[in-house]
Amino acid sequence: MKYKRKKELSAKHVLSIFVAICVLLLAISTFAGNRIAFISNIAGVTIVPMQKGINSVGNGIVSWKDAKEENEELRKENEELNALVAALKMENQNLSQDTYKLKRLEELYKLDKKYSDYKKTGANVISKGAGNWFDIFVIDKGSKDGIKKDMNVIAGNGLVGIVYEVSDHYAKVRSLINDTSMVSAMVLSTQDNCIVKGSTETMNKGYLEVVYLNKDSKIKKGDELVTSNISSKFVEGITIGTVTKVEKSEDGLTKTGRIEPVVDFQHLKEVLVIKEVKETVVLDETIKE
Amino acid sequence: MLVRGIFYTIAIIVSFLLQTSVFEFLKLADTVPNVMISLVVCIALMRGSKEAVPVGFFCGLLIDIFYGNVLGQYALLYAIIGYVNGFFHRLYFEDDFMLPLVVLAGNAFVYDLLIYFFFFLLRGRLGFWYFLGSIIIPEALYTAIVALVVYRILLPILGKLAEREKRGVI
Repeated sequence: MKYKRKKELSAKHVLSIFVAICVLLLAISTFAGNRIAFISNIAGVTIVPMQKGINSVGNGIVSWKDAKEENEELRKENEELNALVAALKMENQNLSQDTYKLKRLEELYKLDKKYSDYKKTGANVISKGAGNWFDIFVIDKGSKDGIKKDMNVIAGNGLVGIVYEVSDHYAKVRSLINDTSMVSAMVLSTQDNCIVKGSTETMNKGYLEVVYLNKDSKIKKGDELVTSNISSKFVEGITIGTVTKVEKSEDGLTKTGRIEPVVDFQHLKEVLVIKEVKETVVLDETIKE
Repeated sequence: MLVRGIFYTIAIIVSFLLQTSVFEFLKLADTVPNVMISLVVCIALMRGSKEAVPVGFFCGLLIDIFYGNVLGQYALLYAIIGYVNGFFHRLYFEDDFMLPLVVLAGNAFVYDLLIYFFFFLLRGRLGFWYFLGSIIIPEALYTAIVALVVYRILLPILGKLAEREKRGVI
């Protein structure tokens, strides 16, 4: 092959040209990222509509198939739910007694600003990360729709992740379970601060690790974990998950635990973006969220 | 050349869409095969480094644009994959199935090992056996199978393209 094509460009030359382009791109995007933002906008205009199309076709097929199976499931579910209603009525009575207590506590914790107050906008997930390693996905709203970097993303009633890059018509979201994600959280009942560590490995087993809990913390199984007030990027009070296990860490200085996220990360289709960026001064650059 | 360029562009975009679509046509046992790597390696086998390097570059660039933090990292990786696999072009015969199969599985395996090494091990995620068993090996096997399909689709198309180009030159 080498001899045949020596008159033209050889493979080595082609490689070195493209490697040079790569290095150039790396350098530019590291040192002057904003200048080449237009590239991702071009991609957004061309690829994103295709992704939307392919998703709507795929979802159509899936939902047609699901509708059949669902019918049977619904009937069963109905029976179960009827039984549940009776049990819940009982529980409701107990809970209404707790309401008074709760009000008092909320005032105490100043947690009354729940995330129902935040302005939100809906978005569709149009594409997920290439490969099986990282939990990154793309949503179909961008800066033209008012999305900004570091806005929080929720689904249902729990935290999904954070917007880390925005183009005109789409935005990239890093999810809570991404291996590089660290979220500053607090235990709702005891106000203890801790860090929720994203991990591909533990998430496949159905939980996330919680670290740096105070060793005297009275956290127990079933407690709710929310984003903390001291987090530099997450607005306060978004539910992350419930505690399933607590144990002393190996060095005995802190406690670690496991939580089960409330969001079903396997089936994310629609998410809500909270249109509020937390404004804080970053004190500690080493903690990445 | 022009027709070939258009064909490659379409192939790159289609494989990107397949691999990243949300509802996952191709998902099996929680694993998505690496279609883009299959495309690059197939072209490297059939046409040599010279064409695989640009195709790899643009595949990687697409991933960079959508999922990377900086432009160029995956583009570089995929361009190199295209170049290295071009060496197998000399050993390649159209009727030989074993070589593509082995080369493709090997590539997926090495690619995942590299990703584990650079993005996970260096950050202190030590559960190598876990990652090997639950991500690396399933992805390598599945990619090899899908790559054979990609290979079967590309084979006649590239053959016809080559024929046309020959006629055009004469």
